[in-house]
Amino acid sequence: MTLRVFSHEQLTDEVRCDHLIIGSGAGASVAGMQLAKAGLDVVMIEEGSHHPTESFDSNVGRQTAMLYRNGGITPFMGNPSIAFAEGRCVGGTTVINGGLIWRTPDWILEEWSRNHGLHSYSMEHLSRHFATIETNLHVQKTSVESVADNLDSLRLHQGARQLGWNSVVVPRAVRNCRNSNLCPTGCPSGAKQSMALSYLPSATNNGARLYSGCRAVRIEHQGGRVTGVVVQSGKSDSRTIHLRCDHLILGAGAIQSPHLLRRSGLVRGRTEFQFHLNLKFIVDFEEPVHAGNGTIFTTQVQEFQRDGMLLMAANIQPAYVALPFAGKHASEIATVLERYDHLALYTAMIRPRGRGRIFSGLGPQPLLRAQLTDTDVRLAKEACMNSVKVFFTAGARTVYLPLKGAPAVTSADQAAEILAKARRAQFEFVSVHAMSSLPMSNTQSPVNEAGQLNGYSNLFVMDASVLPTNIGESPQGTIMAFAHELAERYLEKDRSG
Amino acid sequence: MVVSSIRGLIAHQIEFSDAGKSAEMVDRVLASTLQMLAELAWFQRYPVLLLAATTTLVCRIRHGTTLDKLDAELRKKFIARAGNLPVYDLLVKLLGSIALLHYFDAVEDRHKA
Repeated sequence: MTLRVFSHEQLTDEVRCDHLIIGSGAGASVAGMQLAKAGLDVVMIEEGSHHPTESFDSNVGRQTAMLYRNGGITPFMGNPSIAFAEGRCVGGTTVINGGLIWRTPDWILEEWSRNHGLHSYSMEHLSRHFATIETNLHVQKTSVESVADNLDSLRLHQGARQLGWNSVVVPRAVRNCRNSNLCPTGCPSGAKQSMALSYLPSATNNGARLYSGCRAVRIEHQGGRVTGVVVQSGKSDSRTIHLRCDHLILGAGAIQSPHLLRRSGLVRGRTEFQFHLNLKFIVDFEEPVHAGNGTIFTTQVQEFQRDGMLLMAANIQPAYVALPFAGKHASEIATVLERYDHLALYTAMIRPRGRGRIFSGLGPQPLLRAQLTDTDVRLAKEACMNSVKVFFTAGARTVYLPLKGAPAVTSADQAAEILAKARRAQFEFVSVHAMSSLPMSNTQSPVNEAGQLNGYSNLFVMDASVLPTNIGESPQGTIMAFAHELAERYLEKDRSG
Repeated sequence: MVVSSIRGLIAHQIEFSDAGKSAEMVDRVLASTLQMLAELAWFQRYPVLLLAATTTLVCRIRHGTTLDKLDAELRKKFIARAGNLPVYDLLVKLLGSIALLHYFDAVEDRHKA
């Protein structure tokens, strides 16, 4: 199935639709496909451009500038500042993520039922949606022992097992992975099943009209009903279009969806969000690992998942090894890069309790601020310590910690000393998962259990915004399962008039 | 006022080799960096430009020239000292990150050519 995308020049005031979807990421694509397959008149608008697989290459800088919002530079201001990365292209963040598809942990769904009243979103309700997603995205687990090239994941797995820790193989949405190690900059072989290769072609094949390069700037509404959306079409040649629609579904992501609602006067007051934090480690092994020959995230250490910590291998490119040393002189970076064949990159992901906040009204882009708690800082230190233990057990010679000004460590004891004195401002966090900015609940909450924005009969949200809390695991599977359930309820409501 | 400091920070970041030290490479990475800066929201872009302008001023006062024209060793010391200031290290880190991404692209393109 081929994806058909209309360019922004083809979007005019004459375009009208019954069901307008803003966004083309994980949630929006599910909604688009489900509604189109049901025979509804659907238009999808995506702010970013369409970049087909053939256009992807190994130029990390150029691909990052092309596929990420702000070229990958969107900070959460705070102490410390956190680098946030999200996709801005047809397919959204699914084009630049690792393609991990996990079912929501049971304890998370139980927490949501207990604390947020979401009794009809149990695994019993969601499991058929997960099965559909896993089929549609060709989700599979690759045995790490069978992939001779994936030594960085194998080392991690073996190190964890030696410590008696739980380490599992990761389910990923890939078909015939070629180990090109370019997941975060667009899979050049088309192996990773982003929305642009799966749900969106199905949506457009069933009649959905998808326009790229179109940014929604304001939702027009009157008397508790959405009447349309003002769209800025194009960049240098931009035009303002007034799109009329009978129903609106927001799938622009956990930052942009609430930002748009706030700019449109549909949500007022404080808008907070939750997120995950990543800590990146560079590990220098005694023996060569040739991590560049492998791929991303094939194993995950889940020993401390209930405590909010995960550990996995990350993609490696010379640029990614150099980035943590940005600011230091090139000669210092060159010394590290000389050991490239011995190097591997790992990510520890933590589930913080801290919150982010979205400030709108400063222009088209929101200002984002995040505040971490003392518990989060303790969790980060524990994650670093657990990671270091696995690395040295796995045969590491040196570990570079994600701490400003910290020397490379050659033992877990040395790491412990450094971490004990580390201040929060030293941590170099990255975030790639934002969520829960319009949390769904059956009690006081912006969005009800059907994804409907309270007070507006024809406005729905179907993206990461609606998840009640962060989940401590890659959220794509959860976002899509929720979107499947929400789309089903939406269709039932539509049929019943 | 601003570009000379950004060029200087880029040169500091990418002078891995003769290729990295060449004016052609620095200018190529500079062009990509300025393009990315132009895409930032105003409340991110203006602080970066202000810090770059301040760098130019301080460098001129201390050394009588701009950061990009400083001798490599002197430039290294200047950036290391300035990097101890709380906000300045963010500037150096941000511009350094962008420069590194585009430097490795340029190296890759050279290998392909």
